[in-house]
Amino acid sequence: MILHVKIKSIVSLHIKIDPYTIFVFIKCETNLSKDMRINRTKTDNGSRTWLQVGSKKYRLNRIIFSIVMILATLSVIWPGYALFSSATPLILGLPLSFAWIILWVIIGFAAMLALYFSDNKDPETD
Amino acid sequence: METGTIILIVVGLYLLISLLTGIIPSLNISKSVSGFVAGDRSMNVVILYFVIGASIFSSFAFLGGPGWAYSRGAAAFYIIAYGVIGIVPLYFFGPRAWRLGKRYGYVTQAELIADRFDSKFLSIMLAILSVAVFIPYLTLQMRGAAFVLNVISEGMIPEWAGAAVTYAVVLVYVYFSGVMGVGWSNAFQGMFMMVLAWILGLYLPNALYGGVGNMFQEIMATGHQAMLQAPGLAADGSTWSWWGYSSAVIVSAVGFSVWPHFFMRSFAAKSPKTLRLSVVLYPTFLLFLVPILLIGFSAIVMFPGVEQADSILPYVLMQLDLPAVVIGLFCAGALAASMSSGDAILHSAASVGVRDGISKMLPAPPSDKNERLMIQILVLVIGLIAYLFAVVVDISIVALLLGSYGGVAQIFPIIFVMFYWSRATKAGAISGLMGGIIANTIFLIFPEWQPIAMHEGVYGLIANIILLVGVSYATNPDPKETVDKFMNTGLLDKSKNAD
Repeated sequence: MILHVKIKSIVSLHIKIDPYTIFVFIKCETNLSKDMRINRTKTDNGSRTWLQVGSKKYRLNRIIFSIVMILATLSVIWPGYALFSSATPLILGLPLSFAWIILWVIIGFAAMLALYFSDNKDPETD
Repeated sequence: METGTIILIVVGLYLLISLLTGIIPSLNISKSVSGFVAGDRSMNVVILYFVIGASIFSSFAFLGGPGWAYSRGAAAFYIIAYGVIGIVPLYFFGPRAWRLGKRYGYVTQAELIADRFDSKFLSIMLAILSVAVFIPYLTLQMRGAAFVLNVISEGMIPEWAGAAVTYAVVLVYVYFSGVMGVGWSNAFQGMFMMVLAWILGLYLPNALYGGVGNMFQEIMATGHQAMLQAPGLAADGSTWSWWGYSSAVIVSAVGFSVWPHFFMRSFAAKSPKTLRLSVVLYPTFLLFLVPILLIGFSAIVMFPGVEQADSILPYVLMQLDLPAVVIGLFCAGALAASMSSGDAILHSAASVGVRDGISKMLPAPPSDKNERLMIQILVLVIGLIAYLFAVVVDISIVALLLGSYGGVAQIFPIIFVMFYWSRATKAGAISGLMGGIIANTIFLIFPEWQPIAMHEGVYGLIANIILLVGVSYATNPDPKETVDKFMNTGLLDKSKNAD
């Protein structure tokens, strides 16, 4: 008879009862993915152990966000803007130079929204 | 009814609502410094969104924006361009500042910096810098309000009276309600401004040219195509250089998030999440500048040769045969733009002046009650000084204000290293800030000394960063405990922030 107990998908207990020897094997395993880390910090009253979740994804999101914002910066100043600086054609009635800036405001807005939602997916974070 | 009377009634109603929305929230806020300066850290997304948005959209946006579009064409897009980059650092700085504020009771930007670098000197220096920048800023807002009332009433309301009436309202609600008064009145003023801007910005091109596209075609057909070509024209009418434009965007973007009155709103948020969401939504406020610029463009062909570009908006309105109520509403909108920045600046100048300046210079720290009273008194004093500059003393302050953008940007590197670079030291921070401000000021006064002509703030930032890094490495590291207190404030450093 083998029992598997999973606690919050992080720690699983494998309990195996051998029917012939009546030995009980208990094997405890932590299923930490690479995205999780166990941290220990010193506090005023001893130390505290806590699990850090999602640090890898968190970092990846921030890298992607940074790239988008660097692109945005280079697009609203020289050299990016110089490529789209002409008055024509009119886009939705606005000169290209105007529409281009508005486009980057919208892209920047979308990138920030995406970052915001990915940051708040984990209910543990404030 | 007479046109003048209707306009006055509309403006009067607007002022009354502003006053009420400004005073009522004071009933719910504690009578403490934290209540006055940071609203007991209770601002929700709606209020914070408008505070962040409206305190930047000042008289400059409402009058200067169309003025730029009218006289400098595509150069006006600069105002939109820097905002979308400039707001981003606040997303990362804000929640960190909030956590520290919650834990250690900070309510201003200088308090954070002074504690991290253990320097009373930095605190006082930042207080002086802030007040020195805020007074001319406030003066300009007052002049903007006075100017609009004067033009629209065709001289019926003299400038001294216009500034006095509008800013008496601001003084009253800032004095009684502190930041919550600023917040609630900004929410009202901000919504009012947005609606008005969109209506006017779409109405004018339609009424004058039959559509936005037609308007731009007309502008190009009448030989103004060069104007619409980015980066537009410089102040003297020649083509703006890419260096000039790009450096102006960079300096404004760098300085944007660290303007003291802007940054310290982080402390007023209810939670880091509230703060983040308000910051994320900020670009929607930027889009409100689009119709504002359209107003300026609409005047290029129809009303050429207006000398004072900043007066283009009231000028156009007076030329058209608009109903009195509409003119009155516009007038109130311009006042809203002026007041929503003016109140935030007034409140911050007084808070920073007392909390980081006067209190730090006293031999013993004042009691909470006395400190609050001192801030309230300074609100009145600063309001009065700015008023005197606005109507009595006739000196040009625009140059002073333009110079201040480069100066404020020098705060950015210190804030950045406070959260992200453990090796920064007290000596490095002080020399970086001083060096940056000095370099900025020198190149502002002597632009011909610049190797490449661009915004003087860039030179300030270069000097700032070199000194900050160089001197920090040359001096001993700051105590680890202090450094960690400020570094470990991110989203993932939860354990250390758990109260």
